[in-house]
Amino acid sequence: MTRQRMFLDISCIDAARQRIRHVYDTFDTVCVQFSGGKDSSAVLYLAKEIHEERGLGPVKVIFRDEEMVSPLVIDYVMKVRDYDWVDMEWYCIPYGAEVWVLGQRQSVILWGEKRMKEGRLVRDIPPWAITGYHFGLTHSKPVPEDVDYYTMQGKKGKVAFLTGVRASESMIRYRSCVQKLHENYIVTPYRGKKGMPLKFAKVIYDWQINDVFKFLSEEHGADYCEYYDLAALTGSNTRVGIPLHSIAIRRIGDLVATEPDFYDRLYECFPHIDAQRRWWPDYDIEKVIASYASLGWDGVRDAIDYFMIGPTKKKRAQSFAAEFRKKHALDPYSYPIEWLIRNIMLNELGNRAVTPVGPKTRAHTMRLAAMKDEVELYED
Amino acid sequence: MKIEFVQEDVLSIPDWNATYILKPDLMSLADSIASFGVLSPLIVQRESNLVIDGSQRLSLLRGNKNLYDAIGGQIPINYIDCDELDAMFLHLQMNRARGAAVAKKISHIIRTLKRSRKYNIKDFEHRLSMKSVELDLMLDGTIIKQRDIKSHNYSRAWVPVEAPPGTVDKAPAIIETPPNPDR
Repeated sequence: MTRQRMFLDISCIDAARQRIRHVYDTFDTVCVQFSGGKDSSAVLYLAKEIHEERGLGPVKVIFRDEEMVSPLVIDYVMKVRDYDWVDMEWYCIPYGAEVWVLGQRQSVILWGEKRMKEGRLVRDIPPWAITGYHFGLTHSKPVPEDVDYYTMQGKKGKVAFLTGVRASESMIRYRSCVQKLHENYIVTPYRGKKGMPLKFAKVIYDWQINDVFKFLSEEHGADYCEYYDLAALTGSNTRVGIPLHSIAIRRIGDLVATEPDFYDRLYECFPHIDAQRRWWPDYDIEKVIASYASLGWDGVRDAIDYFMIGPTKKKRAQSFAAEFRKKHALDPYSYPIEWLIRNIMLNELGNRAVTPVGPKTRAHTMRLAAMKDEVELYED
Repeated sequence: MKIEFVQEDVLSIPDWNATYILKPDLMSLADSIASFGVLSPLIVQRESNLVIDGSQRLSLLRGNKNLYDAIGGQIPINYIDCDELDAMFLHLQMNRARGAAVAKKISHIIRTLKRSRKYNIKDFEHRLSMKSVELDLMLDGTIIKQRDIKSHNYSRAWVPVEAPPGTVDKAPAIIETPPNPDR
């Protein structure tokens, strides 16, 4: 399936307005999934436009508070919550997240009871928040369903969550926006419960960063989160979100440069993250991957033992490795051990489809050619 | 704390010294010493005269006779009684406990100094090693200005279409990358 972009003769802003009208025409309940970031702010103001145009009253907004959220973002969300044209539901739902330090991965439960008792929650649960307890659940383990399942409870009929996903943010997001050809921006949640009447509407999927800021500042004179000005000042990333997972923590220096007091609070809750701040710039992760890979399956075992902290993480990695091993036995050049170790250390193991280098791909062909060369060299 | 004054040739820099100051920062340090002198004493192990903290200032003074003369050829030091292992430990402690400069607050100071007119562009450039790009950023570092949003034209909308076999998307790549990955 090859996709191309076909450019239209309208601006992305006008196209987004058309899309959002279509969403409001076809769904019974529409909510903005707001994170406090620039993209969801743009979606919020698009929704404001249509609410004013159609006299729909306040915009329904859902904020999933992920506990390790920057104080600047929280300040901005609080400000938005107070707008009279916003009706915000603030959720603090316990679910699993990860703290990644120099390749070592540890699971944590956001808003978890254990840390709550130890005084190690990054922030207290706001009194107005809707929590797991409201659904009859505890905060001692992750909620059994995906968080969207809880945030869409009580919404009537067919529900659409407007999200600020943009194709240009990453290749995965781009693929998610071009998968469908008809109504490509209306998609079913990836991990949603079967039969759940919820869709995500990525109405600004074709916007660039500058479109977002132009729309916010010039069309609406809107405030945006102060973090972005600090990011500009320090050359930091323009993404807000949990800063300790395997991708974000590699830019922990951004956090120190922009909000050192927030870093300090994270350090109080997870002291081992300081090793990442001090040593990541000098840490040669490629060398570490290569050294484990050179030991074959013993290296895989050692890597799981060392890098996966806690029984849940270990078990998950072991089962991923076992599945990988079966495929490796059939086709070692499509399923190299080095890829497995890289995945254990750097990537998400959630996807069980182990297809690193599929047959007929360019990488696969190159590996086969390399293997042939090796055999020929040996024979010579 | 008793501050003593010694000549530079009395002191020595240990081979385990683990600090390094980049040239622009060193230039700024030199300007500060030339203007105000050595304001805090070097920390020195009494027994061996090894510098535990202040090696960079000592190197600077040794490499710049004018600067050394400007401070009267006398370096303030604070002697510590400890063995070499403790000296190493203290060296690590002192260097791990350096504060980090906070961009937002630095920007605020720069704006105050600029408004006061006591310091001009040349002061920032020569005495703080702060070139015009950095200075502009510190004076007005909003993302709207930095990304030049005013002169940006909205992108064209697009929809995905099935590409004929063998073709590739020839439009410019659109994936955004952070300004300095893996900071």
